[in-house]
Amino acid sequence: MASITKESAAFVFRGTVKRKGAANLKAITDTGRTAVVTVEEIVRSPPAIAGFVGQDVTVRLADQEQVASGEKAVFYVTGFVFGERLAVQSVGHDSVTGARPMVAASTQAAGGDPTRAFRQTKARERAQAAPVVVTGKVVAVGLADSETTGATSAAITSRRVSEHEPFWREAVVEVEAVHKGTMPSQQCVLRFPGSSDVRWHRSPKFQAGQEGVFSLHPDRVTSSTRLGPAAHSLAASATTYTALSSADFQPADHPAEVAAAVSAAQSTATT
Amino acid sequence: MRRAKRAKAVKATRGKKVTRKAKKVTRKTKKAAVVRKKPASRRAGGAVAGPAGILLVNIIPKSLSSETNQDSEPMIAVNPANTDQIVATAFTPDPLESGSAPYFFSSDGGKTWTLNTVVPGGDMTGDITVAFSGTGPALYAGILRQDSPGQSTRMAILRTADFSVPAPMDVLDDRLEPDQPFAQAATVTNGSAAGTQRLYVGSNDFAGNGSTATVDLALDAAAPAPVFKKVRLERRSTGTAGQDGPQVRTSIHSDGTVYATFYGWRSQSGNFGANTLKVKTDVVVVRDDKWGDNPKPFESLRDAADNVVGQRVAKGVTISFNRNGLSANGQQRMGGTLSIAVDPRSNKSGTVYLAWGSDEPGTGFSIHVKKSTNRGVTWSANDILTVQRGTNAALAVNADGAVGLLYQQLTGTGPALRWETHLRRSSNGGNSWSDLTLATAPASTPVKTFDPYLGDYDHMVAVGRDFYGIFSASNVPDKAHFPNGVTYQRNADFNTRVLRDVSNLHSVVPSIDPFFFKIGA
Repeated sequence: MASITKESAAFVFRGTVKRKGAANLKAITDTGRTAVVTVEEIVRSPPAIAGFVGQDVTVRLADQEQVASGEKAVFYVTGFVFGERLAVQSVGHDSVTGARPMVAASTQAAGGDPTRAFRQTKARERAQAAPVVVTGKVVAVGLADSETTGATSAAITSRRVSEHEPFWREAVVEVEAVHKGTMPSQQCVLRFPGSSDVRWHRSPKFQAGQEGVFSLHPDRVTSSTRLGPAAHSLAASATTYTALSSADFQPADHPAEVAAAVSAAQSTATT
Repeated sequence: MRRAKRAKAVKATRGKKVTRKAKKVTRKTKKAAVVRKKPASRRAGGAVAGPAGILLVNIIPKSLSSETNQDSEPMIAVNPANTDQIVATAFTPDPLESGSAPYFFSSDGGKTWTLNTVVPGGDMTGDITVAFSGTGPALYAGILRQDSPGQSTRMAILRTADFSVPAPMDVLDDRLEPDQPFAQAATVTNGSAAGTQRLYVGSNDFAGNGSTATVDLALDAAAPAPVFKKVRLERRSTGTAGQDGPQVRTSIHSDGTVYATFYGWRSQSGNFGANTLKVKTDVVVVRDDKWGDNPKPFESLRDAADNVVGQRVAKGVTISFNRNGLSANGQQRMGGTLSIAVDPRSNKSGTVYLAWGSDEPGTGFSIHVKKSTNRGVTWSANDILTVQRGTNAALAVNADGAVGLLYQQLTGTGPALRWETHLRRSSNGGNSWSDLTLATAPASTPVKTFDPYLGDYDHMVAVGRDFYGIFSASNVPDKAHFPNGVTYQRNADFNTRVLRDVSNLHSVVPSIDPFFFKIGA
């Protein structure tokens, strides 16, 4: 698990320290390193906890982190305890003045929507982690070779039956721009799970016509060795990719997330 | 060091005084429970009153009132040494995506719940089951990690010394291929091994080369590095199926008797990808009489017909094994259901109940319950209970020998389809059964966001005379959905039948939530 930093923290808010050495939920009895903080503005947040403005939360401070009662600050936090109230684990805080440029930039990019700022952070992370990032359009979708009855009927009938079966599909992506890594041809093949099982449901399910930015990883997941029918026009040696995280695809109609992914890709591309 | 620090930092309240008081109240009112049903009415805090002796709680914490996740496939563990301590699981993601998955825990007998994000392997588990050690706050878990490097399932067996500590669980075993881990544990109470913690994790291990039904057992699970023995339960050919079913369930008696049951698949027809797969299967029970502490574990029971290990309680049963849940089946994917429970009383380890699911003409699918009083050698000729259109069977037997069956049943047709959750109980060995409806809600809403809609299982245990269980259902705050009352921790308005977000200002769309219950004897 990657360590969580101020940049990657899922929940960022501006608040005022109400009581140092205190907590406001019963599961926390040792308050030596906690503080109750009133949330005044949320800068970045997943949807499930975006409604805490005006509420008090318990912040468990990071090692060596100090706050004072009455102090106003921007806190960068991750989850700690979810009970009758919320407790979060701080990864650090900045003074309101010091954080002002970050808050302003984030607010502007996200249109003041902290959940959009969260999505942009995720898009940025995935683009940074991916070896190849492209802008493109899905021009065809079909079964992966492992799913086609004609080519591998023996494999299909003899394979395991599991509720977590991925049911691989292939999307052919017409590449319009390469932001990171190399793309030897104008089209590439993207394998994705067609399964609606809990294990795979968060992976993007691609459809022909979708346009946007794709954060791509060479396929080391599927067992397919040949291209499926949708990709029949590509060279058999074409590199295949996967994009399994929900943030690996940013649709074109989400321009702020697209911009975040492209910017992150370019900033981490090797020249 | 980090664990110790965090353990010191956070300690859940134990609430022992509250428990003693609550137990007194339960004893006082239990006789009147049947006749003193109060009219359902709204209380402040999202509660609808029900009869005394019945506690039903939506376990999503108040701080997560804004969540809309499909929290299906629940599991529960109750500490037998302190029934205030309960852990529950579901397909619940870490709301802040820290890289670890959560479980729910209660330290006050299930009245209030907190989310503890300590399960390694990703923000959410694939499957997860939990078991208390039997004598203390140590908790075991079997999970499917989301961070499998390939497309294979990746099972991890986990342990924490204290379920309430917000520190990552220790990984005891971690390997590719097993599916649907089902953890159960117990502590030996007498003899030379007294105090030893024993852990049994059933799974469908695809590394089993056709004989996939498996139990991983650790005879000293509390050891710093427990040694696991992998036992392949299937001794017959799995034929053209080439595998067993995903459900491998166990039940442990304090005298060292351990039962396990599985679907021994024999053949298949249809197409899984096309959602038309049908499986012919036996329902098999195996047994070990010494905790599995012998060179050939789980070989104590042989089928008289073929003298092979494993009694076939039902032969040639047909089940549908769905890829997706169908609207005609209330969005729930079908794939069989299995549960086994031994009578916990002294000298009663020979009494064991078994529930399994099968396809049935006319009704589509059914649960069958049978009973054995001779350690699984023979079984009741007929079902002692049959539930048409029932699934997610969970059996438990309490300290009086009363047996309970939790299940979810599809009722109605077309747009009137509903999922009803029932608890049936019998105090006379299955001759007659009471019926308690815990929840009833339309099967078409909310619309599923993934499979399984309600889960491939739910769960129930008995500690003392009480039954503790968990199921997943629609969270629409409609008192008509909970005829025996319910309490919500999350913000909900039962007058307008609307969920509210954490600010209580905005409505929240319905989703599937886990519901805990405790039913007094």
